Amino acid sequence: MKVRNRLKELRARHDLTQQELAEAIGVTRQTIISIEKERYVPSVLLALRAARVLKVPLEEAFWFDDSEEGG
Amino acid sequence: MKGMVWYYISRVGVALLFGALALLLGAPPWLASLGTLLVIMAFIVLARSGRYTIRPAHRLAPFARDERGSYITRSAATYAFAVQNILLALFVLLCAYLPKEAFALDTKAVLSLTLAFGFITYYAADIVLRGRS
Repeated sequence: MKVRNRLKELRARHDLTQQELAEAIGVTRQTIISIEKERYVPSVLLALRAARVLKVPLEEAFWFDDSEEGG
Repeated sequence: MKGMVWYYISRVGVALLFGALALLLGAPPWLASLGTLLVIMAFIVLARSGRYTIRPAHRLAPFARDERGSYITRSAATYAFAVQNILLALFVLLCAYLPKEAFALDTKAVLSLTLAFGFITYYAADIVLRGRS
């Protein structure tokens, strides 16, 4: 089951750069890039921080992709 | 790079100490100067590598790994540990089953080799994991 996210879209909505979001949630820009490309799944703590900065509920920023289930 | 003044001042100090030590150990002045410059450049590259989050409040040690960095470091260390143990086990087996004439064990060489493979595995895993995750 893959964890998807719309961090990039939400970040653009708030007119934030990757660096600005990274500084706001206390990670490196490379981590933001990895999360946006869905190569790295963040911890609950980091996901909650990102959702708070982007002013959305957690499940609006991150969710399970059920279509990939059962493999 | 706000709030990094103390970092750069302290690292220039370290680089100058490195240069002075090189001079004391008999290195020619041009080589000591080159070494000092290289050390300063290494600290600048480290600060701008993007590998660490910057905590300006910690003046002399402002770098910290974020959770992805910690995950990569932990994984790389685990792989290195596994490789070292497998190599040691292989050496023990070779010693146990091969005749002494065929496989003379030099403990220092074995430990150096396993350590070297451990380091190589660590850095290789670090690079691969940074590319993948």
